[in-house]
Amino acid sequence: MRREIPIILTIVFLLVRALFELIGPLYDFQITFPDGTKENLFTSISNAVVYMSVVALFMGVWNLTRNHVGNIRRKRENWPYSIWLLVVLYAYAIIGIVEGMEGKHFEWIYTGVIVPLDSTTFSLLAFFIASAAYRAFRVRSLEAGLMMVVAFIIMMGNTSLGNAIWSQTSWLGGFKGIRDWLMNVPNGAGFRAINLGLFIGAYVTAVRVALGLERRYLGVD
Amino acid sequence: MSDLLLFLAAEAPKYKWGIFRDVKGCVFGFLVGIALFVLTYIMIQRARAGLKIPEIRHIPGLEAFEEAVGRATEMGRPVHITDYYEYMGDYDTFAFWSYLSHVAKLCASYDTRIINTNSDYLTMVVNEEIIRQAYLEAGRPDAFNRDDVRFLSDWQFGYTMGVAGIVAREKPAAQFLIGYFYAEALIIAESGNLVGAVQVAATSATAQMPFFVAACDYTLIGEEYYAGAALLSKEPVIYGSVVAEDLMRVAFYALIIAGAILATLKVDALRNAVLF
Repeated sequence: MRREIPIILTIVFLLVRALFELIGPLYDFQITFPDGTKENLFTSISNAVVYMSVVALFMGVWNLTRNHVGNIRRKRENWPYSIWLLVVLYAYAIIGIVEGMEGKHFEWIYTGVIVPLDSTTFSLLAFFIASAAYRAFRVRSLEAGLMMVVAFIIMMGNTSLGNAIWSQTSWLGGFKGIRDWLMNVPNGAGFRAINLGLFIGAYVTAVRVALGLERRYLGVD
Repeated sequence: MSDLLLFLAAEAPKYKWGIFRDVKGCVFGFLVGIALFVLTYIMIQRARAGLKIPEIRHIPGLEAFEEAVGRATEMGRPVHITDYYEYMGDYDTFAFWSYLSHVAKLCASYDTRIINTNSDYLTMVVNEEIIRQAYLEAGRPDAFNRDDVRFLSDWQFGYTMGVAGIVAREKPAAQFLIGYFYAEALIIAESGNLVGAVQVAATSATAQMPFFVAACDYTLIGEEYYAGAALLSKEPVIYGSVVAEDLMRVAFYALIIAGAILATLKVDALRNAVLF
Protein backbone atom coordinates (compact mmCIF):
# COMPACT_ATOMS: atom_id res chain seq x y z
CA MET A 1 0.00 0.00 0.00
CA ARG A 2 2.98 2.26 0.58
CA ARG A 3 3.48 2.34 -3.19
CA GLU A 4 -0.08 2.05 -4.44
CA ILE A 5 -1.52 5.02 -2.51
CA PRO A 6 0.94 7.62 -3.93
CA ILE A 7 0.36 6.25 -7.47
CA ILE A 8 -3.43 6.44 -7.06
CA LEU A 9 -3.22 9.97 -5.64
CA THR A 10 -0.93 11.08 -8.47
CA ILE A 11 -3.28 9.70 -11.14
CA VAL A 12 -6.41 11.17 -9.50
CA PHE A 13 -4.91 14.67 -9.17
CA LEU A 14 -3.46 14.50 -12.68
CA LEU A 15 -6.95 13.78 -14.02
CA VAL A 16 -8.44 16.55 -11.87
CA ARG A 17 -5.87 18.99 -13.21
CA ALA A 18 -6.53 17.89 -16.81
CA LEU A 19 -10.26 18.31 -16.21
CA PHE A 20 -9.66 21.77 -14.84
CA GLU A 21 -7.75 22.78 -17.95
CA LEU A 22 -10.42 21.34 -20.28
CA ILE A 23 -13.72 22.17 -18.65
CA GLY A 24 -12.76 24.36 -15.69
CA PRO A 25 -13.49 27.63 -17.51
CA LEU A 26 -16.87 26.31 -18.73
CA TYR A 27 -18.41 25.09 -15.50
CA ASP A 28 -18.24 26.49 -11.99
CA PHE A 29 -17.99 23.54 -9.60
CA GLN A 30 -18.67 25.06 -6.19
CA ILE A 31 -17.91 23.50 -2.84
CA THR A 32 -19.39 24.83 0.36
CA PHE A 33 -17.30 25.14 3.52
CA PRO A 34 -18.77 24.55 7.03
CA ASP A 35 -18.96 28.33 7.59
CA GLY A 36 -21.17 28.67 4.50
CA THR A 37 -18.60 30.26 2.19
CA LYS A 38 -18.38 28.87 -1.33
CA GLU A 39 -15.33 28.39 -3.50
CA ASN A 40 -14.55 26.87 -6.89
CA LEU A 41 -13.39 23.26 -6.46
CA PHE A 42 -10.29 23.73 -8.61
CA THR A 43 -9.32 26.92 -6.77
CA SER A 44 -9.55 24.98 -3.49
CA ILE A 45 -7.24 22.27 -4.84
CA SER A 46 -4.73 24.87 -6.06
CA ASN A 47 -4.86 26.53 -2.63
CA ALA A 48 -4.16 23.17 -0.97
CA VAL A 49 -0.84 23.05 -2.85
CA VAL A 50 0.03 26.49 -1.48
CA TYR A 51 -0.76 25.36 2.08
CA MET A 52 1.35 22.22 1.59
CA SER A 53 4.25 24.40 0.43
CA VAL A 54 3.96 26.57 3.53
CA VAL A 55 4.08 23.51 5.79
CA ALA A 56 7.00 22.10 3.79
CA LEU A 57 8.86 25.39 4.27
CA PHE A 58 9.42 24.32 7.86
CA MET A 59 11.00 21.11 6.58
CA GLY A 60 13.43 23.23 4.58
CA VAL A 61 14.23 25.40 7.60
CA TRP A 62 14.57 22.28 9.75
CA ASN A 63 16.95 20.69 7.20
CA LEU A 64 19.14 23.82 7.16
CA THR A 65 19.12 24.09 10.95
CA ARG A 66 19.93 20.40 11.49
CA ASN A 67 22.79 20.46 9.00
CA HIS A 68 24.39 23.60 10.36
CA VAL A 69 23.88 22.77 14.03
CA GLY A 70 25.62 19.49 13.21
CA ASN A 71 28.49 21.44 11.63
CA ILE A 72 28.87 23.59 14.75
CA ARG A 73 28.62 20.69 17.19
CA ARG A 74 31.21 18.57 15.40
CA LYS A 75 33.37 21.61 14.64
CA ARG A 76 33.57 20.67 10.96
CA GLU A 77 35.63 22.72 8.54
CA ASN A 78 34.40 26.34 8.26
CA TRP A 79 31.92 25.84 11.12
CA PRO A 80 31.84 29.55 12.11
CA TYR A 81 30.03 30.23 8.82
CA SER A 82 27.27 27.91 10.00
CA ILE A 83 26.74 30.16 13.03
CA TRP A 84 26.51 33.15 10.74
CA LEU A 85 24.01 31.35 8.46
CA LEU A 86 21.75 30.45 11.38
CA VAL A 87 21.92 33.99 12.79
CA VAL A 88 21.01 35.51 9.42
CA LEU A 89 18.26 32.93 8.74
CA TYR A 90 16.45 33.40 12.04
CA ALA A 91 17.16 37.12 12.51
CA TYR A 92 15.74 37.98 9.08
CA ALA A 93 12.71 35.75 9.68
CA ILE A 94 12.07 37.41 13.07
CA ILE A 95 12.46 40.92 11.63
CA GLY A 96 10.02 39.98 8.86
CA ILE A 97 7.47 38.59 11.32
CA VAL A 98 7.74 41.59 13.67
CA GLU A 99 7.87 44.39 11.08
CA GLY A 100 5.95 42.81 8.18
CA MET A 101 6.89 42.85 4.51
CA GLU A 102 6.94 46.66 4.38
CA GLY A 103 9.12 47.04 7.47
CA LYS A 104 11.98 49.54 7.36
CA HIS A 105 14.74 47.18 8.47
CA PHE A 106 13.29 44.27 6.53
CA GLU A 107 13.35 46.32 3.31
CA TRP A 108 16.78 47.77 4.07
CA ILE A 109 18.31 44.31 4.39
CA TYR A 110 16.64 43.31 1.14
CA THR A 111 17.74 46.31 -0.91
CA GLY A 112 21.07 46.83 0.85
CA VAL A 113 22.28 43.24 1.14
CA ILE A 114 20.28 40.74 -0.92
CA VAL A 115 19.98 42.78 -4.13
CA PRO A 116 23.74 43.65 -4.34
CA LEU A 117 24.65 40.03 -3.52
CA ASP A 118 22.32 38.88 -6.28
CA SER A 119 23.91 41.27 -8.76
CA THR A 120 27.40 40.19 -7.71
CA THR A 121 26.58 36.53 -8.25
CA PHE A 122 24.93 37.26 -11.58
CA SER A 123 27.97 39.24 -12.74
CA LEU A 124 30.15 36.17 -12.16
CA LEU A 125 28.49 34.79 -15.27
CA ALA A 126 30.53 37.10 -17.50
CA PHE A 127 33.79 35.47 -16.34
CA PHE A 128 32.38 31.96 -16.43
CA ILE A 129 31.05 32.49 -19.97
CA ALA A 130 34.54 33.57 -21.04
CA SER A 131 36.22 30.49 -19.51
CA ALA A 132 33.58 28.07 -20.88
CA ALA A 133 33.71 29.70 -24.32
CA TYR A 134 37.51 29.44 -24.36
CA ARG A 135 37.31 25.68 -23.85
CA ALA A 136 34.39 25.15 -26.24
CA PHE A 137 35.73 27.28 -29.09
CA ARG A 138 39.19 25.73 -29.35
CA VAL A 139 39.34 24.51 -32.93
CA ARG A 140 39.93 20.79 -32.46
CA SER A 141 37.39 19.40 -34.89
CA LEU A 142 35.32 20.50 -37.87
CA GLU A 143 32.29 21.10 -35.62
CA ALA A 144 34.28 23.20 -33.15
CA GLY A 145 35.76 25.18 -36.08
CA LEU A 146 32.29 25.81 -37.49
CA MET A 147 31.07 26.94 -34.09
CA MET A 148 34.03 29.29 -33.78
CA VAL A 149 33.28 30.91 -37.17
CA VAL A 150 29.58 31.28 -36.34
CA ALA A 151 30.38 32.70 -32.89
CA PHE A 152 32.74 35.23 -34.49
CA ILE A 153 30.08 36.37 -36.95
CA ILE A 154 27.42 36.66 -34.23
CA MET A 155 29.78 38.66 -31.99
CA MET A 156 30.73 40.98 -34.85
CA GLY A 157 27.06 41.38 -35.76
CA ASN A 158 26.30 42.45 -32.21
CA THR A 159 29.03 45.09 -31.92
CA SER A 160 29.48 48.50 -33.50
CA LEU A 161 33.00 47.44 -34.51
CA GLY A 162 31.49 44.75 -36.75
CA ASN A 163 29.24 47.33 -38.37
CA ALA A 164 32.23 49.65 -38.91
CA ILE A 165 34.21 46.87 -40.65
CA TRP A 166 31.33 45.54 -42.75
CA SER A 167 28.36 47.89 -42.80
CA GLN A 168 24.82 46.57 -42.78
CA THR A 169 24.04 48.74 -45.82
CA SER A 170 26.60 46.89 -47.93
CA TRP A 171 26.68 43.40 -49.51
CA LEU A 172 24.64 40.70 -47.65
CA GLY A 173 23.73 43.24 -45.00
CA GLY A 174 27.21 43.03 -43.43
CA PHE A 175 27.89 41.10 -40.24
CA LYS A 176 24.49 42.14 -38.93
CA GLY A 177 22.68 40.76 -41.97
CA ILE A 178 24.47 37.40 -41.73
CA ARG A 179 23.91 37.33 -37.96
CA ASP A 180 20.18 37.89 -38.46
CA TRP A 181 20.02 35.10 -41.05
CA LEU A 182 21.97 32.70 -38.82
CA MET A 183 19.77 33.46 -35.83
CA ASN A 184 16.46 33.36 -37.68
CA VAL A 185 16.99 30.48 -40.11
CA PRO A 186 19.42 27.71 -38.97
CA ASN A 187 19.28 28.61 -35.28
CA GLY A 188 15.52 29.17 -35.34
CA ALA A 189 14.93 25.86 -37.13
CA GLY A 190 17.16 23.98 -34.66
CA PHE A 191 15.46 25.48 -31.65
CA ARG A 192 12.00 24.73 -33.02
CA ALA A 193 13.00 21.11 -33.59
CA ILE A 194 14.32 20.91 -30.01
CA ASN A 195 11.14 22.49 -28.65
CA LEU A 196 8.99 20.08 -30.62
CA GLY A 197 10.93 17.14 -29.18
CA LEU A 198 10.60 18.65 -25.69
CA PHE A 199 6.84 18.90 -26.04
CA ILE A 200 6.55 15.27 -27.13
CA GLY A 201 8.92 14.10 -24.37
CA ALA A 202 7.04 16.03 -21.70
CA TYR A 203 3.71 14.73 -22.99
CA VAL A 204 4.84 11.11 -22.97
CA THR A 205 6.24 11.56 -19.45
CA ALA A 206 2.81 12.83 -18.38
CA VAL A 207 1.13 9.84 -20.07
CA ARG A 208 3.47 7.44 -18.24
CA VAL A 209 2.53 9.11 -14.95
CA ALA A 210 -1.17 9.00 -15.86
CA LEU A 211 -0.96 5.28 -16.60
CA GLY A 212 0.90 4.63 -13.34
CA LEU A 213 3.98 3.36 -15.21
CA GLU A 214 6.32 6.05 -13.91
CA ARG A 215 7.10 4.83 -10.39
CA ARG A 216 10.67 5.86 -9.92
CA TYR A 217 9.60 8.82 -7.79
CA LEU A 218 8.82 6.09 -5.26
CA GLY A 219 12.31 4.65 -5.65
CA VAL A 220 10.90 1.69 -7.62
CA ASP A 221 12.30 0.55 -11.01
CA MET B 1 -33.09 46.00 -25.62
CA SER B 2 -31.69 44.72 -28.89
CA ASP B 3 -28.49 46.72 -28.20
CA LEU B 4 -28.20 45.04 -24.82
CA LEU B 5 -28.68 41.57 -26.37
CA LEU B 6 -26.08 42.36 -29.01
CA PHE B 7 -23.68 43.54 -26.28
CA LEU B 8 -24.27 40.38 -24.22
CA ALA B 9 -23.79 38.18 -27.29
CA ALA B 10 -20.49 39.94 -28.03
CA GLU B 11 -19.34 39.59 -24.43
CA ALA B 12 -20.38 35.93 -24.07
CA PRO B 13 -17.48 33.48 -24.34
CA LYS B 14 -17.32 31.71 -27.69
CA TYR B 15 -16.69 27.99 -27.95
CA LYS B 16 -15.79 25.88 -30.95
CA TRP B 17 -18.19 22.94 -31.31
CA GLY B 18 -19.76 24.17 -28.07
CA ILE B 19 -16.98 22.84 -25.79
CA PHE B 20 -13.58 24.07 -27.00
CA ARG B 21 -12.17 27.46 -26.11
CA ASP B 22 -11.97 29.95 -28.97
CA VAL B 23 -8.19 29.75 -29.20
CA LYS B 24 -6.18 29.12 -32.37
CA GLY B 25 -5.27 25.45 -32.75
CA CYS B 26 -7.33 24.36 -29.73
CA VAL B 27 -9.32 21.59 -31.45
CA PHE B 28 -6.34 20.36 -33.46
CA GLY B 29 -4.17 20.35 -30.31
CA PHE B 30 -6.82 18.36 -28.44
CA LEU B 31 -7.10 15.79 -31.23
CA VAL B 32 -3.31 15.50 -31.51
CA GLY B 33 -3.15 15.02 -27.73
CA ILE B 34 -5.67 12.16 -27.93
CA ALA B 35 -3.79 10.58 -30.86
CA LEU B 36 -0.49 10.78 -28.96
CA PHE B 37 -2.08 9.21 -25.91
CA VAL B 38 -3.50 6.33 -27.96
CA LEU B 39 -0.19 5.76 -29.77
CA THR B 40 1.73 5.70 -26.47
CA TYR B 41 -0.80 3.29 -24.98
CA ILE B 42 -0.60 0.96 -28.03
CA MET B 43 3.21 0.88 -27.93
CA ILE B 44 3.22 0.19 -24.21
CA GLN B 45 0.72 -2.64 -24.65
CA ARG B 46 2.76 -4.12 -27.51
CA ALA B 47 5.89 -4.00 -25.37
CA ARG B 48 4.00 -5.54 -22.46
CA ALA B 49 2.69 -8.37 -24.67
CA GLY B 50 6.21 -9.03 -25.97
CA LEU B 51 5.26 -8.09 -29.55
CA LYS B 52 7.83 -6.58 -31.89
CA ILE B 53 8.34 -2.85 -31.51
CA PRO B 54 10.80 -0.65 -33.43
CA GLU B 55 14.36 -0.31 -32.12
CA ILE B 56 15.12 2.53 -29.73
CA ARG B 57 17.82 5.02 -30.66
CA HIS B 58 21.02 5.12 -28.68
CA ILE B 59 21.65 8.04 -26.29
CA PRO B 60 25.42 8.29 -25.65
CA GLY B 61 25.12 10.50 -22.55
CA LEU B 62 23.33 7.75 -20.61
CA GLU B 63 26.41 5.54 -20.46
CA ALA B 64 28.27 8.42 -18.85
CA PHE B 65 26.26 8.02 -15.63
CA GLU B 66 27.87 4.74 -14.66
CA GLU B 67 31.26 5.89 -15.88
CA ALA B 68 31.10 9.08 -13.79
CA VAL B 69 29.95 7.29 -10.62
CA GLY B 70 32.64 4.65 -11.18
CA ARG B 71 35.27 7.38 -11.44
CA ALA B 72 34.06 8.96 -8.19
CA THR B 73 34.28 5.55 -6.50
CA GLU B 74 37.84 5.03 -7.69
CA MET B 75 38.85 8.50 -6.51
CA GLY B 76 37.05 8.15 -3.18
CA ARG B 77 35.23 11.41 -3.75
CA PRO B 78 31.47 12.09 -3.60
CA VAL B 79 28.92 12.47 -6.38
CA HIS B 80 26.81 15.61 -6.54
CA ILE B 81 23.37 15.73 -8.17
CA THR B 82 21.14 18.76 -8.36
CA ASP B 83 18.28 20.38 -10.16
CA TYR B 84 17.16 23.94 -9.78
CA TYR B 85 13.69 24.76 -10.96
CA GLU B 86 12.02 21.52 -9.98
CA TYR B 87 8.74 21.83 -8.17
CA MET B 88 6.36 19.08 -7.20
CA GLY B 89 4.02 18.30 -10.04
CA ASP B 90 6.24 19.49 -12.90
CA TYR B 91 6.75 16.79 -15.51
CA ASP B 92 10.44 17.77 -15.43
CA THR B 93 10.50 16.76 -11.77
CA PHE B 94 9.23 13.28 -12.58
CA ALA B 95 12.01 12.92 -15.15
CA PHE B 96 14.55 14.21 -12.62
CA TRP B 97 13.44 11.60 -10.08
CA SER B 98 14.19 8.87 -12.62
CA TYR B 99 17.76 10.12 -12.92
CA LEU B 100 18.09 10.59 -9.17
CA SER B 101 16.85 7.07 -8.51
CA HIS B 102 19.35 5.65 -11.01
CA VAL B 103 22.33 7.65 -9.69
CA ALA B 104 21.40 6.90 -6.06
CA LYS B 105 21.26 3.17 -6.82
CA LEU B 106 24.64 3.30 -8.54
CA CYS B 107 26.14 5.20 -5.59
CA ALA B 108 24.57 2.84 -3.06
CA SER B 109 25.84 -0.25 -4.86
CA TYR B 110 29.36 1.21 -5.28
CA ASP B 111 29.32 2.55 -1.69
CA THR B 112 29.93 6.09 -2.91
CA ARG B 113 28.67 9.14 -1.11
CA ILE B 114 25.90 11.06 -2.90
CA ILE B 115 25.15 14.72 -2.20
CA ASN B 116 21.86 16.20 -3.36
CA THR B 117 21.25 19.95 -3.15
CA ASN B 118 17.79 21.47 -3.43
CA SER B 119 16.02 24.76 -3.89
CA ASP B 120 12.56 23.38 -3.25
CA TYR B 121 11.68 21.92 0.13
CA LEU B 122 8.82 19.72 -1.10
CA THR B 123 10.97 18.12 -3.78
CA MET B 124 13.77 17.72 -1.24
CA VAL B 125 11.57 15.48 0.92
CA VAL B 126 10.83 13.17 -2.02
CA ASN B 127 14.51 13.19 -3.06
CA GLU B 128 15.47 12.11 0.45
CA GLU B 129 13.05 9.17 0.28
CA ILE B 130 14.31 8.11 -3.16
CA ILE B 131 17.94 8.08 -1.97
CA ARG B 132 17.02 6.30 1.26
CA GLN B 133 15.16 3.65 -0.76
CA ALA B 134 18.18 3.16 -3.03
CA TYR B 135 20.42 2.49 -0.01
CA LEU B 136 17.82 0.15 1.46
CA GLU B 137 17.65 -1.86 -1.76
CA ALA B 138 21.44 -2.04 -1.93
CA GLY B 139 21.39 -3.50 1.60
CA ARG B 140 23.24 -0.55 3.09
CA PRO B 141 20.63 1.48 4.98
CA ASP B 142 23.29 2.60 7.47
CA ALA B 143 25.34 4.23 4.71
CA PHE B 144 22.53 6.68 3.94
CA ASN B 145 23.32 10.09 5.39
CA ARG B 146 20.37 12.47 5.77
CA ASP B 147 22.73 15.42 5.99
CA ASP B 148 23.79 14.87 2.39
CA VAL B 149 20.31 15.78 1.13
CA ARG B 150 20.41 19.51 1.62
CA PHE B 151 18.00 22.36 1.22
CA LEU B 152 19.96 25.52 0.41
CA SER B 153 17.64 28.33 -0.55
CA ASP B 154 14.65 28.92 -2.77
CA TRP B 155 16.32 32.20 -3.77
CA GLN B 156 17.99 31.65 -7.14
CA PHE B 157 21.46 33.03 -6.43
CA GLY B 158 21.43 32.01 -2.79
CA TYR B 159 20.99 28.45 -4.01
CA THR B 160 23.64 28.99 -6.71
CA MET B 161 26.32 30.17 -4.30
CA GLY B 162 25.35 27.43 -1.85
CA VAL B 163 25.93 24.80 -4.55
CA ALA B 164 29.17 26.46 -5.72
CA GLY B 165 30.41 26.47 -2.11
CA ILE B 166 29.56 22.80 -1.55
CA VAL B 167 31.24 21.85 -4.83
CA ALA B 168 34.38 23.81 -3.87
CA ARG B 169 34.54 22.24 -0.37
CA GLU B 170 33.46 18.67 -1.06
CA LYS B 171 35.19 18.39 -4.47
CA PRO B 172 32.84 15.86 -6.05
CA ALA B 173 34.39 13.68 -8.75
CA ALA B 174 31.11 13.57 -10.65
CA GLN B 175 28.41 16.17 -10.98
CA PHE B 176 24.96 15.65 -12.49
CA LEU B 177 23.01 18.77 -13.42
CA ILE B 178 19.55 17.55 -14.30
CA GLY B 179 16.35 19.48 -14.70
CA TYR B 180 15.28 23.00 -15.53
CA PHE B 181 17.92 25.67 -15.00
CA TYR B 182 18.24 29.39 -15.48
CA ALA B 183 21.26 31.71 -15.14
CA GLU B 184 22.76 29.57 -12.38
CA ALA B 185 23.45 26.76 -14.88
CA LEU B 186 26.83 27.99 -16.03
CA ILE B 187 28.00 29.11 -12.57
CA ILE B 188 27.35 25.63 -11.16
CA ALA B 189 28.82 23.85 -14.20
CA GLU B 190 31.97 25.96 -14.10
CA SER B 191 32.31 25.38 -10.34
CA GLY B 192 32.29 21.64 -11.10
CA ASN B 193 34.81 22.12 -13.85
CA LEU B 194 37.14 23.99 -11.48
CA VAL B 195 37.31 20.96 -9.16
CA GLY B 196 37.80 18.57 -12.09
CA ALA B 197 34.45 16.79 -11.84
CA VAL B 198 33.08 14.73 -14.71
CA GLN B 199 29.86 16.53 -15.54
CA VAL B 200 26.70 15.20 -17.09
CA ALA B 201 23.89 17.63 -17.80
CA ALA B 202 20.35 16.94 -18.94
CA THR B 203 17.97 19.81 -19.35
CA SER B 204 14.78 20.89 -21.03
CA ALA B 205 15.74 24.58 -20.74
CA THR B 206 16.63 25.50 -24.31
CA ALA B 207 18.31 28.75 -23.24
CA GLN B 208 20.79 26.89 -21.01
CA MET B 209 21.68 24.08 -23.43
CA PRO B 210 24.56 25.98 -25.11
CA PHE B 211 26.11 26.68 -21.69
CA PHE B 212 25.91 23.04 -20.67
CA VAL B 213 27.33 21.91 -24.01
CA ALA B 214 30.26 24.29 -23.51
CA ALA B 215 30.92 23.47 -19.85
CA CYS B 216 29.95 19.80 -19.35
CA ASP B 217 31.41 16.53 -20.61
CA TYR B 218 28.07 15.07 -21.68
CA THR B 219 24.79 16.86 -22.32
CA LEU B 220 21.38 15.39 -22.97
CA ILE B 221 19.41 17.97 -24.91
CA GLY B 222 15.81 18.36 -25.97
CA GLU B 223 13.65 15.28 -25.73
CA GLU B 224 16.73 13.20 -24.83
CA TYR B 225 16.13 14.50 -21.31
CA TYR B 226 12.78 12.71 -21.11
CA ALA B 227 13.73 9.73 -23.27
CA GLY B 228 16.87 9.23 -21.15
CA ALA B 229 14.79 9.24 -17.98
CA ALA B 230 12.68 6.44 -19.45
CA LEU B 231 15.59 4.46 -20.86
CA LEU B 232 17.38 4.32 -17.51
CA SER B 233 14.68 1.86 -16.52
CA LYS B 234 15.27 -1.59 -17.95
CA GLU B 235 11.52 -2.17 -18.03
CA PRO B 236 10.28 -2.99 -21.58
CA VAL B 237 7.00 -1.19 -20.93
CA ILE B 238 8.83 2.10 -20.46
CA TYR B 239 10.77 1.34 -23.65
CA GLY B 240 7.43 1.23 -25.45
CA SER B 241 6.66 4.80 -24.47
CA VAL B 242 10.01 5.99 -25.90
CA VAL B 243 9.22 4.20 -29.17
CA ALA B 244 5.93 6.09 -29.27
CA GLU B 245 7.86 9.30 -28.67
CA ASP B 246 10.08 8.64 -31.69
CA LEU B 247 7.12 7.75 -33.90
CA MET B 248 5.41 10.98 -32.91
CA ARG B 249 8.45 12.97 -33.90
CA VAL B 250 8.49 11.31 -37.32
CA ALA B 251 4.78 12.10 -37.72
CA PHE B 252 5.34 15.74 -36.74
CA TYR B 253 8.22 16.13 -39.17
CA ALA B 254 6.11 14.59 -41.94
CA LEU B 255 3.38 17.11 -41.08
CA ILE B 256 5.88 19.98 -41.24
CA ILE B 257 7.21 18.86 -44.65
CA ALA B 258 3.65 18.41 -45.98
CA GLY B 259 2.75 21.86 -44.62
CA ALA B 260 5.77 23.46 -46.28
CA ILE B 261 4.95 21.85 -49.66
CA LEU B 262 1.26 22.80 -49.46
CA ALA B 263 2.08 26.36 -48.38
CA THR B 264 4.44 26.66 -51.37
CA LEU B 265 1.61 25.49 -53.63
CA LYS B 266 -0.66 28.04 -51.89
CA VAL B 267 -3.02 25.34 -50.55
CA ASP B 268 -4.31 26.43 -47.13
CA ALA B 269 -6.26 23.30 -46.14
CA LEU B 270 -3.61 21.86 -43.80
CA ARG B 271 -2.79 25.25 -42.31
CA ASN B 272 -6.47 25.92 -41.58
CA ALA B 273 -6.87 22.46 -40.03
CA VAL B 274 -3.85 23.00 -37.73
CA LEU B 275 -5.04 26.43 -36.67
CA PHE B 276 -8.64 25.31 -36.00
